[in-house]
Amino acid sequence: MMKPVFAVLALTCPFAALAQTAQGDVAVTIYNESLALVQDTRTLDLKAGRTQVEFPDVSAQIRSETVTLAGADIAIVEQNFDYDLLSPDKLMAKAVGQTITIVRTNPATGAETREQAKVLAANGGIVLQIGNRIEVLRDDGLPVRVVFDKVPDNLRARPTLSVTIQSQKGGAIPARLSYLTPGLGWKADYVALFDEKAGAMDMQGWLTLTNNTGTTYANAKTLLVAGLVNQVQPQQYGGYNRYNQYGQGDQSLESEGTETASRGRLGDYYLYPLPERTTIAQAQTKQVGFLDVTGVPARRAYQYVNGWLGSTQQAISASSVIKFTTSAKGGLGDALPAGTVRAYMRDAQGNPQFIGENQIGHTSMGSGLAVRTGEAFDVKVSATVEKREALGKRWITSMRYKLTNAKDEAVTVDLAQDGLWGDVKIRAQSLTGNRVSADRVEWSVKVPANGTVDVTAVFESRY
Amino acid sequence: MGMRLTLFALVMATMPVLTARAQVVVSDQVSDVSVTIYRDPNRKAGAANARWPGGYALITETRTITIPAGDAVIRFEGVAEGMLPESALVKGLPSGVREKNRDARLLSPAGLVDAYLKRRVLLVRTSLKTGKRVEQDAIISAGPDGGVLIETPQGTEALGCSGLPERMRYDGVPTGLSAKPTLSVMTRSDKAQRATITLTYIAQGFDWSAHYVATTNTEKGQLDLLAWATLMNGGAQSFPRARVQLIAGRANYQRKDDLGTPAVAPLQLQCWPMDTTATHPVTAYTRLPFYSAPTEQIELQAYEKGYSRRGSAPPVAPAMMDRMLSLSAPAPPPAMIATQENFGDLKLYRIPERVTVAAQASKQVAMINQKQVTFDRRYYFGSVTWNQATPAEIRLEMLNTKAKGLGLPLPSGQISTSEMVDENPLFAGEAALRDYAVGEDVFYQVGRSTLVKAIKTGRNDGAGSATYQVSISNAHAEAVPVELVLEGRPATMADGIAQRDGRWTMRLTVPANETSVVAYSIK
Repeated sequence: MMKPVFAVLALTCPFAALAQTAQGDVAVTIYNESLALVQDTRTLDLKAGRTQVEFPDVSAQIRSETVTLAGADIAIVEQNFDYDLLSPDKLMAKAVGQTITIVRTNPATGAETREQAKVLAANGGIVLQIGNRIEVLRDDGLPVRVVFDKVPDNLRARPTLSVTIQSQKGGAIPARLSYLTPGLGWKADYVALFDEKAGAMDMQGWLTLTNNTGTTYANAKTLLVAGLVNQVQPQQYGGYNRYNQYGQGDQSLESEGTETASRGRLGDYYLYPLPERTTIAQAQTKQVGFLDVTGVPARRAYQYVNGWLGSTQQAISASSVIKFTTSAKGGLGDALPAGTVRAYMRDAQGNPQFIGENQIGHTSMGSGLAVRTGEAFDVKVSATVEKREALGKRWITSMRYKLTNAKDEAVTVDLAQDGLWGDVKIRAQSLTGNRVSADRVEWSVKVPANGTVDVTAVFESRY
Repeated sequence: MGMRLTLFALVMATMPVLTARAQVVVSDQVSDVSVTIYRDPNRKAGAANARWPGGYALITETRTITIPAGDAVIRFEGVAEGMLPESALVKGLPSGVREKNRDARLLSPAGLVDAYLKRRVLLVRTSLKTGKRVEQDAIISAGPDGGVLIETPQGTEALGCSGLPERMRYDGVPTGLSAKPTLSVMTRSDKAQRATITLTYIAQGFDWSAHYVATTNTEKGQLDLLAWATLMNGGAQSFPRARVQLIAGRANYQRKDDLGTPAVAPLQLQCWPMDTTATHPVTAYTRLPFYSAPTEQIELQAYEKGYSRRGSAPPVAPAMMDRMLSLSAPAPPPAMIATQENFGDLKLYRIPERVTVAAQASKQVAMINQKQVTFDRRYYFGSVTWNQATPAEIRLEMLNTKAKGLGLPLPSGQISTSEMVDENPLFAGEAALRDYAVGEDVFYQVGRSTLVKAIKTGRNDGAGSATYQVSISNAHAEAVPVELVLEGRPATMADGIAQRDGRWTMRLTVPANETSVVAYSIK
């Protein structure tokens, strides 16, 4: 009462399928970290009652447990996923108890002798019964060909999905197959052209998607999802959750935005649909633009963070930073998916040159970003502990920060003293600082062209 | 029909001891089989691993045989290779079982040498020059470990070391060797008769878990919950048309020893290293031959293009597609749903029809189909990183009661959540679930939000107390419910602060497109 609709023709026409695919109308939704939802609407040729349907041309890495099939007037009885793959070993193992043909070639004359042999066992070596004698296949290494009448039904060239469907009526019925597959992923890449004099930046965003699933998705409606989607690794016991790499350590973020971008959303994830259908070929990297803004206000800044109340051995370069906001007012006006920002500036001849790159996390609209592109050659800071003495149960530390500027224009350095955990008090400072958190105080220091500025501060701490 | 009576007359003359006068009855046909699958006892939550099924199954087979008068050895061929012989029960033999043997000695090149040790075989040598075959008698004097030595009238030689093609021919299959995993029992009957035997045993290499698909409707605050039971057989033995039951809950199950020495030792003729380019290594598994390594699949990917089908599907008319897509939004009810029964302190799911539990395959059958289950979405901060924006966990919570549209035992497994975007369910994340009984609070993490984040600063006030300040930003255009885990018992209580699941937490609502700042001290 059940019969496979599609025959496995892998052996008979190995190249015929290159041009065509069994896929129907394909929609691919790609998540950040090597995960995609494939929705493939195919027309099934069903008869009323039950039919077993096989689905070729699905991802070679299909996660079988995530398969669903939906269509009008059909219901699923069971889904089977067969890993019993066709190989010489398996072919012989399945032939146990059956009769095969062996063809011996005489090593001297080349004459062929055909014999019928019954396969008795395939446990490491093939034990054959030929007439009333028992022997092991090719025990003496002489040429013997083994010929099988046919491939057993249940051996597959690839892991195969087959679904038993109950249909109310016969005929061509469209049904949507959907499943998750690893191997398809994307990331964002940004190209920022920074114009320091104008205090502005042009920014383009590119979505770079890669396909290593082993399958090509033809003419697919493609949607990219930016967000931290939970994925469970089936190998792990107790349900270990893997997070997106961009979730932690977002060093470029200065202040978190609370604006809602006008992009499409899936709950807490932003959606980036590709404007047209596209074919995502196996082992292909594809780039599509999604952001192109010009004249975004941006400024150069210099940052130096002293990690604890200690001295530096020598003058250290301040970080060179480009600051901008993703706010709709005075900024980029979009939420940014996690990725790499590559910054360029025009040289004296007007040619854009690379000045550095850094990562950003998934960034909401309205956020302040400070992308560290590298170190400033001419702007350096050295920190010195000038004095450290006990005062009762507490300690007094006098710090001196020397800022030097070898440029022929004035710069402003954001100098920070970090590591003030707890109840560290600032008893005196030569410049009024901003205690941005319990841990950290920041000073905005103007350093004249080819000049030097000293900042001093006295801290009172428990240790 | 279901049996084969074989008298190895020829072998009898040469087999000296064990089965001196017992007749051998081979039973290789199964008329009815029931498979009850238990989950991996070490897995507390999450999905079963199809590549390494860590659970076990209770298998009951019905076989009909003809028992001869007198002593008989009945060989049940084709049992699961993960069989634990100590668990085997044989019922239906008229006079019971005298002895049970799980025969791990399989018919193989090495097995043949072992069985023919000190016995006569025919040695066949082929001249490469003339193609002429010379046959002579020989006696196997040593083997199979460390090579095979044979004695001929010319003296003792090592097999396969001469450089000439040589092979051995045996007169017959020794009775103790079988091609497939076999359980043999010895019995005695006073007369020949037909008997229907029930063979029950536990076999390793099976597993199952639930796979939930939750499709949410955020406006209504409801989700549709469909669960598949995913069951898998890692062995090489198929169970066609089996009655299948699945057990949830934990039955005590002790750690089992490995099944002894390798069942199939490769025959290695040892002279000196003589590997050739075409040497095909044979792996001997100490336990079950589970799925082959993923590398095999990767190699096979090279051939994937060769996978075709007959004809090409006719293009789908757009109108037809629209109909299909709109109709597919509520997934059709499955045609077959496993029924749940209470079974002592365990839960039993019975597949209503006979299904095939194929070798090295997994199968999915629906087990739960529940519509309109009420749920809550909450943004949860288990811990907030210092001075760094931490994304909130997106949690879905549901109370497992009838009143909320659920009220079913939920066996452990994996849950994937979909949200509707333009009538199209899109995957939003997945999580591992443990077993949930009726009445329990079910919650899991779908993903993390980059729209709701928190940042923490604080101050050590000395004497073990500290003050914290957490800023929670919300880039949603709607207010969101947030739960924040506190570092301990707060000094002053406020609305929304309570001990939940053993930890002090604060619940609050963060308004749309705003940042809420929460300050508290912990003593």
